[in-house]
Amino acid sequence: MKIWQKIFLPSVVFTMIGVFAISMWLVVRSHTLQLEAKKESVQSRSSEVVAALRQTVEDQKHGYFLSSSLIEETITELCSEMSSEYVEVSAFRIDQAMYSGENTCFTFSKEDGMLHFQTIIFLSGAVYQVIISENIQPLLAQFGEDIKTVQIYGTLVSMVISIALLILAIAITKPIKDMEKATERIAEGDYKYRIMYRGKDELSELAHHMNDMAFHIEADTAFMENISESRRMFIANMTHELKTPLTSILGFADVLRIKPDISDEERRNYADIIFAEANRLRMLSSRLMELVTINEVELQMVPVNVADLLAQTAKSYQPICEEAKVSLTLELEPAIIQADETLFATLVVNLIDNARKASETGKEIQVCCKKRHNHVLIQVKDQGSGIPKEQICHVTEAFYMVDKSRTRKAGGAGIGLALCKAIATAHQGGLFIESEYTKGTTITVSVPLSKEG
Amino acid sequence: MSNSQYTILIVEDDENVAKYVQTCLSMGEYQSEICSNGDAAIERLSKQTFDLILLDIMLPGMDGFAVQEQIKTKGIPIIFLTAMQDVSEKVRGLKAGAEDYIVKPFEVMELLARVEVVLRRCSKSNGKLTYENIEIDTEKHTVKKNGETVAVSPKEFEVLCYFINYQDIVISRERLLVDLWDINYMGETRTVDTHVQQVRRKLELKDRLLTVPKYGYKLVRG
Repeated sequence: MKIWQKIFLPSVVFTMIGVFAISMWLVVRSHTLQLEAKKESVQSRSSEVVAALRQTVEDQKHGYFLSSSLIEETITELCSEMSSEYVEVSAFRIDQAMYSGENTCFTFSKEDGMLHFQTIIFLSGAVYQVIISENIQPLLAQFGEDIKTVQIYGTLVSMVISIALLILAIAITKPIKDMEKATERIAEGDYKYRIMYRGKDELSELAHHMNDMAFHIEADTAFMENISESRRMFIANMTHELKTPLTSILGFADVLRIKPDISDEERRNYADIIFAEANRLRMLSSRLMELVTINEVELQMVPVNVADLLAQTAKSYQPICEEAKVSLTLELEPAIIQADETLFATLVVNLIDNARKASETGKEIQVCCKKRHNHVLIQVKDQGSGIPKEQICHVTEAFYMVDKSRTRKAGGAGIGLALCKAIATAHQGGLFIESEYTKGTTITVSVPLSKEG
Repeated sequence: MSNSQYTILIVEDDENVAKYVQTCLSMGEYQSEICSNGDAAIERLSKQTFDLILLDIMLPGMDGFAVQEQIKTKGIPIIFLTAMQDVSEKVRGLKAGAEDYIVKPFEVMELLARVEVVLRRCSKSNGKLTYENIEIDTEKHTVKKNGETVAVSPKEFEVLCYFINYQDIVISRERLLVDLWDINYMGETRTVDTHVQQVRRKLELKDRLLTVPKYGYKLVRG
């Protein structure tokens, strides 16, 4: 059963019962009162008649004995005098044996629409019965008519009330219906849909909460979709990065296998390519392993002096930089952090290596570390090719390459910065990139200082 | 019509893969050119027409689908090269009007076979193949040696055409099984041997259709 039916049907039933009960009660009551009044008037009429009879008989007697026939005559005369259209007065002598003592005795009898009032009196030695009869037919007819009227009007009023209730019930339950439709849409996956509802009642609160719910579902699904999209991209990129060298390796191996008369030069050429691509694959697989395992293995946290680590790494890079005529300057402030030494070294090596790859002859790389609040900031600044503004947010994604051919030539696969970011994050730190295209890039890694240091 | 009359455009960003594709094509006697990105390819196509385009999907900047969208009015058949094995990607490529789809990594013969199928489907070849004194009509399925008809079974006919199409290339038994028998398993290759021997005997190709020990066969260039 629908809610509007639940509201509507009982209300209609109770209203009809109420309307009929009250009006019937009123009609019956007024009828009873009228009847009572009639009775009283009949009774007083009776007293009047009796008094008049006594007076008349008394007057005529004047101390003489009157014959009973004369009295009866007088009474009959008087009675017919006192009768009117509606009230019939009659008195007659009855058997002495029926008289039971006192001269006053009232009985009511109601038959044929007539109300009778009987009085037995003792009058100059005889017993008389005086009957006052009043026609109450009109009263009864009125009562019947009233009942009919009440039924008709009661039905009409009930119908009007029912219609009003029906409209009200539908109006009240309409927002529920709307909400039901809205939830259906949301359940079907239309998370952008919002329920329109004005007012300040319980339903508007409900609508409000449901909108909140839809909002959160929308946000969460967007989040999940984002994750699955980035996973998909990661896998697509990985497949591409793995299969590209594999294509060359397999392909040139196949060429060596099936091509007739290969010159020595060609053979060396093909072998070189196979060798280079296999190396690329090896590098890629070890990088990928590092990236994948960062979050899987437990880090061996030990106190590490960042300044020492940077100095050592810079030292090992010095010969390569000198050869490329790139100057490497250091500005180091001693700082101790809790870190996994091997991983953190990978981070530092990657940062310096990236800067070196980006730098052309005659440029400078600045490496510095300084304490700020309770963090250490490691900065590697180069004057290299830089990153276009709109790409900065992408460069920490795995396999993202700003200049694919340059990255390839340098033997990269676009994993370095993703790895750095993952390592920084694993140390409760962050990685920030500032870059101006063609002018140079500054990469800052911020890691909390060791509490003991 | 010999393969050297076909010019094929390779659009591939990886230098070595592009070089490999070019080597494959040269083994099939095709002319080819390399473009390393979509813009260069479109630029190149505006100046010259090609018989076929081998198009990588994951290109830097404009991807393969975008390139195809821009050049499809030229009506040049396209074979996509891709690392994806995703079926939906494949459907997308073929729906967009690509002729075929090659998943990396691929072998030399795989590429050549696909290229040949597409070129044959898309060009109005006269259906004639010749090898020295052998004439083949691929439409009528007839083989003539020195003007005299030689009776061959349909499979032997296919084997013969295959070798003539890939002269001087060592062809493995497995490759023949895959390409001609549609069987994709490493196993019984005796059927191949029987057919090759029949072809060799019927057309007197003893010194031309050579057995490469432990590998397969090779038809010496005529």
